[in-house]
Amino acid sequence: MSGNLLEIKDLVVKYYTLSGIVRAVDHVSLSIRPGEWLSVVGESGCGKSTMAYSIVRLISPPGRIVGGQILFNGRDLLSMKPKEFRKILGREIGVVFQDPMTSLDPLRRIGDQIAEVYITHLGMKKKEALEKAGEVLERVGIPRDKINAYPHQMSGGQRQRVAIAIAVALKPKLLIADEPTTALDVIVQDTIMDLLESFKEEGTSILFITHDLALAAERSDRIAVMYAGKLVEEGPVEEIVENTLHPYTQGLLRSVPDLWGPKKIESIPGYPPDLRSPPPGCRFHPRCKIADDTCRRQEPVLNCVGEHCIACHKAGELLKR
Amino acid sequence: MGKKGLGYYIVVRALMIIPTILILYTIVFILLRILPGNPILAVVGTRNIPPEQLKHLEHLAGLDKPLIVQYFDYLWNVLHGNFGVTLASPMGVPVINYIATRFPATLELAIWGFSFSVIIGLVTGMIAALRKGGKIDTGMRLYSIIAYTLFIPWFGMILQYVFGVVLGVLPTGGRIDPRINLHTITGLYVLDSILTGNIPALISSIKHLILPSLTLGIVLSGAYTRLVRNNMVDVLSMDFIRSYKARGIPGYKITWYALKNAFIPVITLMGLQFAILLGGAILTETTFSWPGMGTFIVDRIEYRDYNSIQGAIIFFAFFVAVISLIVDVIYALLDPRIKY
Repeated sequence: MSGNLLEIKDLVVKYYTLSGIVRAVDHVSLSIRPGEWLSVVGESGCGKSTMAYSIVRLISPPGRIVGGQILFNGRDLLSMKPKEFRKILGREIGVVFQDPMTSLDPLRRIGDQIAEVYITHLGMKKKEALEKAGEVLERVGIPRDKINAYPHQMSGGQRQRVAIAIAVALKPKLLIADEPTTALDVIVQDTIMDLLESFKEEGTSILFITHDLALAAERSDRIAVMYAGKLVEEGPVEEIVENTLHPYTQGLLRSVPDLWGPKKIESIPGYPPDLRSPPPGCRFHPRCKIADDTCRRQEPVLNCVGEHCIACHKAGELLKR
Repeated sequence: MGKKGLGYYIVVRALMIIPTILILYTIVFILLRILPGNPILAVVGTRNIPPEQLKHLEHLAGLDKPLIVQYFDYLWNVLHGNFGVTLASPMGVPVINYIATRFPATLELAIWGFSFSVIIGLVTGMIAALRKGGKIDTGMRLYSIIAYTLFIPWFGMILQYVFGVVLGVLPTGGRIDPRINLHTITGLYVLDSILTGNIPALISSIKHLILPSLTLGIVLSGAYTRLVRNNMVDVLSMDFIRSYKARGIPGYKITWYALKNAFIPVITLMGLQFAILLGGAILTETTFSWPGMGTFIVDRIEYRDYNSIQGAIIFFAFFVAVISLIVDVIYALLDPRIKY
């Protein structure tokens, strides 16, 4: 499909640990269109963050990108020279990390840290860059006079705003947000989500990594669900929430608490598999209620009906129901 | 800064030096009196001297006064900047005269040894961290442990043997070639040579400094290697380093930011090491016949020269306390998170 901002094709990432090879991302393909919000949902260790860090080449040993392509505006990010790639990082692709308490340098004023991206990428003078830093601080809802503050003088929510300010300072085409609200309380979480959405409205595509399907459902255009290093279901948000097909996604939805409904929270039994030796066949079969012999033997492939894609042998059956 | 600010902190820390030194003086005073003999007996030795004359000498030295009076007399003098006079061989020389010539020698050795230890420690630690897990890393860590456990006189003698005896390129003792005439201003020979434009003195004093300060520097560098390596490894794995990478910041800048963060705990170690350094200087001085405070104290202990030992140790302690205060202030200025 052309017209995509980002296209991940058949990505494979492995961690070569002493106790075995972990297949963290196993032949995953995904794409994001310009101005779209795509959320990748999954449990801890399902490979969603590894996938996101592959885009910005932040996989460090023992991890290694073993196969696949990542096309950004048609150019393969993985084969770019480091120097060339650095020009895209921070300028066309911004990243916001999970823990705002540790993602800023404790020894430098936040203004300097914001200004640095203007100086590095646009060659601005310090004074001009600080002026711009003040503007972008205000844009993320922090008073300009905080420019001389150190990270430790701010709250978690404020720091995350600063981190977002740095990520969006140069109006990137893609913003990768790796669980940016997980370390924050619910009220702050909501304001951060509003902030991210406002950048989407300005045309930035957002790749949102989260374990919280309900949170993803509120804001996304599309949702991709990952399980044990594999993409299991992907589609427009209404499709995923209202016409859930994959037993794992259904399980995730059932485990979301509902304040108003009489719904009982159900958890998915069992644990995600050890990715050093994933189960044969469908990786979800040991925890799946409807698994049969085929599921235990044969690995399902991703099939799409319209925009809704699913990797499950039972998809046909589920559709009929 | 907290409500009370750095100035308040400095004053409090400075005031705390007083009880520290008082306690130290008390311990030294008691220890010296527990040692058998006294300055007069040390000088007299095995010679036969009439008891009346002995009594007279002890009276001259003030040793016939009750201990408690001796304790406060000396304290009173020190408070007035008077470190007393030597009690033995020679007798009656103001202790401050010795300190004035001996202390710069120790300071010079300490500064050089300190610089060697920090430079060696920073370089080895940084290389180890950047090559974490590799052979170089293992080698550096091994170096750190070996250096840390070296015994100064033993290691000093090996250096003396190799460079002084076998290769014959460096002197094995003293501060400067005795045939060279150097006009002293600060008592730091290298600095004085530069100030007076005395090239032969400069070369000679540097040559004399290399072995003792390298001995001291290598032994003390082990702790830095370890600390710098571990801090650097920690900092390099921190989220903000990853954030820098994700912003397209060039690698050399990131290494610099990492080093700055890794350096903060090293400053604390510097303050602590400076005290150890002066202790190590005593061993180094005796090994290299370096005419500093260390050899002075050792020499005076032989004579049970109470005043000299007390004076030298109080002076030393005061100096260490001031250095450690300065280090803490630097620490506070470098790390914006420190509050008082």
